[in-house]
Amino acid sequence: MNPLVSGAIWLSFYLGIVLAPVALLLVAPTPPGGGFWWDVSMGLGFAGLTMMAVQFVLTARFKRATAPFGIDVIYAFHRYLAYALLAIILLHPLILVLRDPAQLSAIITPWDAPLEVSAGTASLFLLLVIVGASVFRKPLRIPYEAWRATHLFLSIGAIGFAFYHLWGVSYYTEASAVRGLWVLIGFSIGAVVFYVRLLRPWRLLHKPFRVVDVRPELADCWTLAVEPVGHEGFLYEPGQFAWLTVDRSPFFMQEHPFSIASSPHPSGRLEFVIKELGDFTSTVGQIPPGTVAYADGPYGSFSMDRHPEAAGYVFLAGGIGIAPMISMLRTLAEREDERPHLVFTGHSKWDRVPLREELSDLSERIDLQVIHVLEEPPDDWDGEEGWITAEMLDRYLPPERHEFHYFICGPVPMIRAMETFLKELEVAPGHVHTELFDMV
Amino acid sequence: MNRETAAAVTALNSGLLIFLAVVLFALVNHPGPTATAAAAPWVAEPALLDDPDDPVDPQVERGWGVYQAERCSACHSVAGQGSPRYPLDGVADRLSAQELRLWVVDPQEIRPGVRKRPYDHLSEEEVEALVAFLEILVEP
Ligand SMILES: Cc1cc2nc3c(=O)[nH]c(=O)nc-3n(C[C@H](O)[C@H](O)[C@H](O)COP(=O)(O)OP(=O)(O)OC[C@H]3O[C@@H](n4cnc5c(N)ncnc54)[C@H](O)[C@@H]3O)c2cc1C
Repeated sequence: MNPLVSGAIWLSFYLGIVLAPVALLLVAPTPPGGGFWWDVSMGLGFAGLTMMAVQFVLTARFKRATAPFGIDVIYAFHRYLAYALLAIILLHPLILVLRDPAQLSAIITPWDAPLEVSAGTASLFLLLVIVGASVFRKPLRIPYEAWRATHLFLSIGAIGFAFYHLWGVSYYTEASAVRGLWVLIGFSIGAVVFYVRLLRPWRLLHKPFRVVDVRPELADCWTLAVEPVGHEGFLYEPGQFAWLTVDRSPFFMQEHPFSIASSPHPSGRLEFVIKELGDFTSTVGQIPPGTVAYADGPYGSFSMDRHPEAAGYVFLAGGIGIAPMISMLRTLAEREDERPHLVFTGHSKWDRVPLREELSDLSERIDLQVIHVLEEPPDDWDGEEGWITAEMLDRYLPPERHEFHYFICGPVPMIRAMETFLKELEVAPGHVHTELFDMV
Repeated sequence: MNRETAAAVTALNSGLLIFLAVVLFALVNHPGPTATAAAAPWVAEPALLDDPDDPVDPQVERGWGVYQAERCSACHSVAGQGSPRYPLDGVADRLSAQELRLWVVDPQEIRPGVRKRPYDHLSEEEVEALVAFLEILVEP
C-alpha cells in the first residue's frame, strides 16, 4: 500500500485511540460537566494519559505496522509526540491552578495532598525527567544503555502513577463503560511491555545465530558474519538493518542496530560492516568465531527494492554509510542488473576507504561507476578531491537523472548537504532516501 | 531528514488536533454555570462580604476562612468555585449539622471505606465554624 495512505490510516487510528476515552464521556452516563475550563483540563488529562500509553506501542517495533514507513520515522514520531504530550499534560494541572489558585498548594506540597493527587504530580515529575534525560542525553554524557534502561523503568513508573491518579481521583470515570475502556488501555500497555521485554527476547533466544567470521576492513571497520543455528534466519530487503546482540542474552537489552551489508542469501547468513566508534563497536574485532548472537530484524525502509521502477541507483555514502549500500550493490551484481548505477563515497584518505577493493570488483561486474572523493588525497591521485559538491554530482549524473533513485547515508551534515544538492539539481524529493545511523 | 521533518510535523499537528478535540468536548459537555443563585454568593464575589446591607454571620465568615485555609476547594465547589467533583451547594438540605461534623472529622464513621481524609487536626472552634458555614449552603 502507498505509505501515504497507510500513514493516514494509522494516524486516524492513533487519534481515535487517544480521543476514545474523551469521546466516550459524551455518550456514557456521566456527572454534569464542571464548566468549560474544568472540562478542558479533564479532557487533556485523559488524552495525555492515552498518549503516554501509545508511546509504549510506538517503540515496540511491530514489524508489520512500521514496514511501510521505516522504523526510524516511527521513532522520530515517538520523540516529537513526547513534546506534544508533555505540553498537554502540563496544561492539565495548569488550567486547574489558573481556575482556582488554591489547587497550587496540592502540587507544590505533595506530602500534604491526597495520595491520588500526589500520584499525578509524581507522574508529571517523572515525565519531565524522562524528556529531559532524552533530550540532553548526549550533553549530560548519559551512557546509551543506562539511558535506555532508565527510560523504560521511569516510563512504566510515570504511567503507573498516572493510572493511580486517574483511578483515585475518579472524576468522570464512574460509568462502567468508561472504566472498562481504561482497564482495557491499562492491560494493553501491560501486554505490550510483556511482549517487547519478555516474549520477543524469548523468541529470539530460540532463534540463535553464531558468529562465523570476523575480518578486518580498512578504516577501523570489521566485517562480522553470523549464521542461523537450527532455523532459517529471516528474509530482508537489501539496505535494511537488524538489531544485533552478541554474547549476551536478548533479555538484557544490549542490542545495537546495524545495516545488513550482505545480499540476501538462502542460508540466512548475515554480514555486517561495523566501525569502531564506542564501547561495543570497539570490541567487535575480538569476538571469537562461534560466539552466540541474536539478530532482530529486518527493519527500515532504506532499500532499492522499494523503488524497482528506477532507471538506476545513485548511492552517496559518507564513512561507514557504505554498509547499507554494499548490500544493495552486492544484490544488484547477483541479479546481473543491467541498469547504470553510481556510487559516491566521501572519505579522508585513500587508505581509509573501507571495501574499496570490493567496490572496484563490483564495477567490473555491473554498470557501476565508483567515484571516491578524498579530503586528503595522495600525491598521485587523479580522482575527485575535497567534499562531494553539487557541481560534482551534476558532472557525473547522466541526463536521465530524474528517473534515478538516490540513497544517502553518512554523517548528518553530509546527509543535509546531499539533500540540498539534489534539490538544486531538481531531483524529486520522493526519489531521495536517507538513512541516519543515529535514531535516539 | 525529509522523513524526520514529516514525523515532526505530523506529531506536533496531532498534538494540536487532540487539543482542539478536547476543547470541542468541553464546549459540548459543560453545562454552563449553574450555581449563580447560590446561598453564599460572596464565595464567587468576595466583595459582597463587606456589603453593609447584607451582613454575614461572623461565625460563618470564620468557617469560610477555615474552608479556604484547609484548601477544601481542591475537591469541593461552592457557588461554582473550586473543584466540581464534589459540589457542596445544597449540602445542608441533605445533611444535619451532626452529619456535617462527622464528614469533616471522621468520614469513615459515616461511610466506611469512603476515600476522604479526616480533618481531625482542626480545633473544636474551627470545626464548629466550618459546620456553621456548611449549614447555610441550602438550595435557594
Ligand atoms: C539504522 C542504523 C543502522 C546502523 N548501521 C550501522 C552499520 O552498518 N555499521 C556501523 O558501524 N554502525 C551502524 N550504526 C551505528 C551503530 O548502531 C552505533 O555506532 C553503535 O550502536 C554504537 O555503539 P557503541 O557501544 O560502540 O558506542 P557508544 O560509544 O556506546 O555510543 C555512541 C552513540 O551510539 C548510539 N548508540 C549506542 N548504543 C546504541 C544502541 N544500542 N542502539 C542505538 N544507538 C546506540 C548512541 O547515540 C550513542 O550515544 C547504525 C545505526 C542505526 C540507527
